[in-house]
Amino acid sequence: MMKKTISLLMSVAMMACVAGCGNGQSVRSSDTGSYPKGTITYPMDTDVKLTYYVKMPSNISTIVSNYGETKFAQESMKRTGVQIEYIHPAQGNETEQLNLLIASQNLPDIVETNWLKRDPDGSISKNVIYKLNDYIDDYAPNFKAYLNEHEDIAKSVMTDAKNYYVFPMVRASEKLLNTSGFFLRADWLQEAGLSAPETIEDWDAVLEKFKARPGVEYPIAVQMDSLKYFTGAYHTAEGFYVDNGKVKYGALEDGYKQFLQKISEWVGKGYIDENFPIMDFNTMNAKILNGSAGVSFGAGGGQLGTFLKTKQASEPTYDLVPVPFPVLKKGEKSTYSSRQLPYSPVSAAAVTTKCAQPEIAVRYLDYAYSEDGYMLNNFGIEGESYEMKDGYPTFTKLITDNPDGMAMAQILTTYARSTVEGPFVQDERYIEQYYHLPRQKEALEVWSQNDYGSHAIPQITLTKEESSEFSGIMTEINTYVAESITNFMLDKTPVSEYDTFVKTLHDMNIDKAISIYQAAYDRFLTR
Amino acid sequence: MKNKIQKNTYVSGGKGSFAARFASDLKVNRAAYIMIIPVLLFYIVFAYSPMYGVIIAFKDYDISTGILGSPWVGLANFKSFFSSMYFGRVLKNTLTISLCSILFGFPAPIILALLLNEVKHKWFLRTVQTITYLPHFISLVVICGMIKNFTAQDGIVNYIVEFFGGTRSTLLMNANAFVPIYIISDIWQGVGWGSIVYFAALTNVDSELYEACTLDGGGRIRQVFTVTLPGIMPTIMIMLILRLGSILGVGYEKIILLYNPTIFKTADVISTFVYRKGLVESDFGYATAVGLFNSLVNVIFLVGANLISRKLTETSLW
Repeated sequence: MMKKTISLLMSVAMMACVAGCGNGQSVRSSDTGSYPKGTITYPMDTDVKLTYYVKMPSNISTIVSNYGETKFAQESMKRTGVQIEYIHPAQGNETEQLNLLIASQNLPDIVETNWLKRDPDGSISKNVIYKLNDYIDDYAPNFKAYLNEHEDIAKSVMTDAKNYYVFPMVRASEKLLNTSGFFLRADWLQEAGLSAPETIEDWDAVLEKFKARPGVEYPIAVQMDSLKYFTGAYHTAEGFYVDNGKVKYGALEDGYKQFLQKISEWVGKGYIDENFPIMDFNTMNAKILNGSAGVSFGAGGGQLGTFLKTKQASEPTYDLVPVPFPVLKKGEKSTYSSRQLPYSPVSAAAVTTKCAQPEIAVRYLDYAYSEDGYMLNNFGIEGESYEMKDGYPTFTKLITDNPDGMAMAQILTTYARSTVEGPFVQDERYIEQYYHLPRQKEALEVWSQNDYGSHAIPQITLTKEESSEFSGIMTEINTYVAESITNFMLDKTPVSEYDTFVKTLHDMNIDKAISIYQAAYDRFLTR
Repeated sequence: MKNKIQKNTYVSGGKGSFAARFASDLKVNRAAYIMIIPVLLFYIVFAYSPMYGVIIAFKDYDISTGILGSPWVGLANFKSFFSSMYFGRVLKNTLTISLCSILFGFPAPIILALLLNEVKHKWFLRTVQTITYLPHFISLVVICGMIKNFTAQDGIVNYIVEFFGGTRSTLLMNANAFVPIYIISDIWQGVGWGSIVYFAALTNVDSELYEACTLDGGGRIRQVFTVTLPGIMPTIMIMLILRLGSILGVGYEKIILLYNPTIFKTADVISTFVYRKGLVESDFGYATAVGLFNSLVNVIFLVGANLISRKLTETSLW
């Protein structure tokens, strides 16, 4: 009964706030009409309650029903002095529900989503979210300091019009950016007397040996998308990328033809499971686990780590070794990889115009970029979830070896945000401890050895006209390319017809799409 | 049956204005009018009022400015669909799948109903009916999972192919196999459920007609063609007209669950193409334009089929 009353009161308070808490709702500073600027000490003396729209991290949705119940949320409310009411969309319906909130003009105060996809400048000019430039200057000293120190990040999180629109997630280390890659059966390599392959030639030798093993159907079990990482060996990449300041499209390059030739050769020799276009995730994982395949692609945590842990318990010789993205000649670095960009736009926080006190919201979000907030977001609460040992924040037994048997990712998600995307700067010391097997640590090293960082297209923004022209061209091209390259790989279309394929791409106006991207990239550079 | 709705006899001669007739009828059948209000409201609120959203087919729709606030773009959305290099292919695939499913899928439940009609053992009849209904209740996602397994390289279908001397292959990666897989699985899932309506129609065929036919020396086969089929012909025609009314309505759910780039050639239909463009890329105006085009074609087929049917068989929806 008590609980019901409280939640009723809370929802009334929330509605009052959404309805417009601009009428001087007992925020001290607002009595004078201005908020203190510059650096302040937390917690703030305010009783503003903010509504906060965020996706519920799926790995804790069985433990808590609202993010506000987590230790992390409670601690950050305590430390900032701001009360937060979390609102979660139903899983899988995030986009639709947010569209509905925008269309019905019923947005919560802070919304975490991929704003980059939602035309940031347009969202500002149509009064959906606040332009944050002035607010950051006045009320977000920590975030501002971070941006001043990291010019490249600052460029990525602003629009071409130099507008700031979100508090972003920043992955502040190569190790955090390269968390997936190829891995092979190490015990098989050892038996064959081979070392982990680096060049395509090495791969040929390894695959031949693997293919000859009894019980192996096809050595490589991967999904279609992972095969594309072999393009990096041929000095090209999948989709759009940058080469010396010039935007290129992978499938138009000569290297791409060689890549298709190699793949279709491997499919022909039975090295690659020819069902790769319809291979589902579980089938793929089963193949590498039961030994009918010896090569796969995946994340260091969910796949490499899990496979080693589950399999080595029953079969101690089972071993997987992560390998660098393949290259043609020894010493080269692959030009394509699964490396992510440092600014991850997936779950960045914007302050909506429905928020009557954006100053407070900005203050709250800025806390994550302060020294204390940084530690809280990455490692949780000192003395509970981590301890400082020789200046290294070490997770406690509660996290690494949970007495209730919770997985590390799960319990850590209740204490910190480092396991999920959100507005803060991520620390590599989190993943160094999360990937605790030696093979996983090795993976972070070898997967980082690639050159995609200098070839990836950064977070460019297209104008509305560009964007509709671009998507008009690319929807058809994507269909055509997906269909054609699958047929090349499976040798249903001989690679000799590649030139016709390239010609068709030109006819389909790929050059216009490239020039749109080039223009946007040039604008990015001058931000 | 005392409260039968009264036929209004006051002005049955067609005299008086509509309003006058309506007013007097209202008096006589007040209860009936009250009862129909919720139904009318349902259609107004859930079917007609959302229809104004169709105007986004002619707009460059943007969520934050809303349906009415978005700028008009005329026929641009339609043009971009018709001028697409894939327009021809997706239209052809849609029609192929749709026509094949009418050609093969439509008669299937009728044949099943006719066959079951000849069965004399009640328990056998019930068993067959139950077994054929069951797949209808399985979720589409599960059905597609089953189809994928059955047609996989080591799936049950390939055992049969191998037995007859063929070579094993993943059938869902063979463009020529997609339409048969789609149609056969559709029939398998829907044949029992679809036969219910025909079965009901069969029970209404006058049994004296069968006796008459027997007296005239007609055998079992003869009876089917001279008595049974003409007896359920109105039902068949109505069902066919309704089916033609959704000729472009090949559902995207099943195809999206089954297709992959290797078989786009035969499997990519209008709705999946629009799904990729309209929903994945959030181009709602475009998706609506294609939806409107679909509806238009469907309505033309519906009206056309109805007209032809009225002329030829004197059976029609209106």
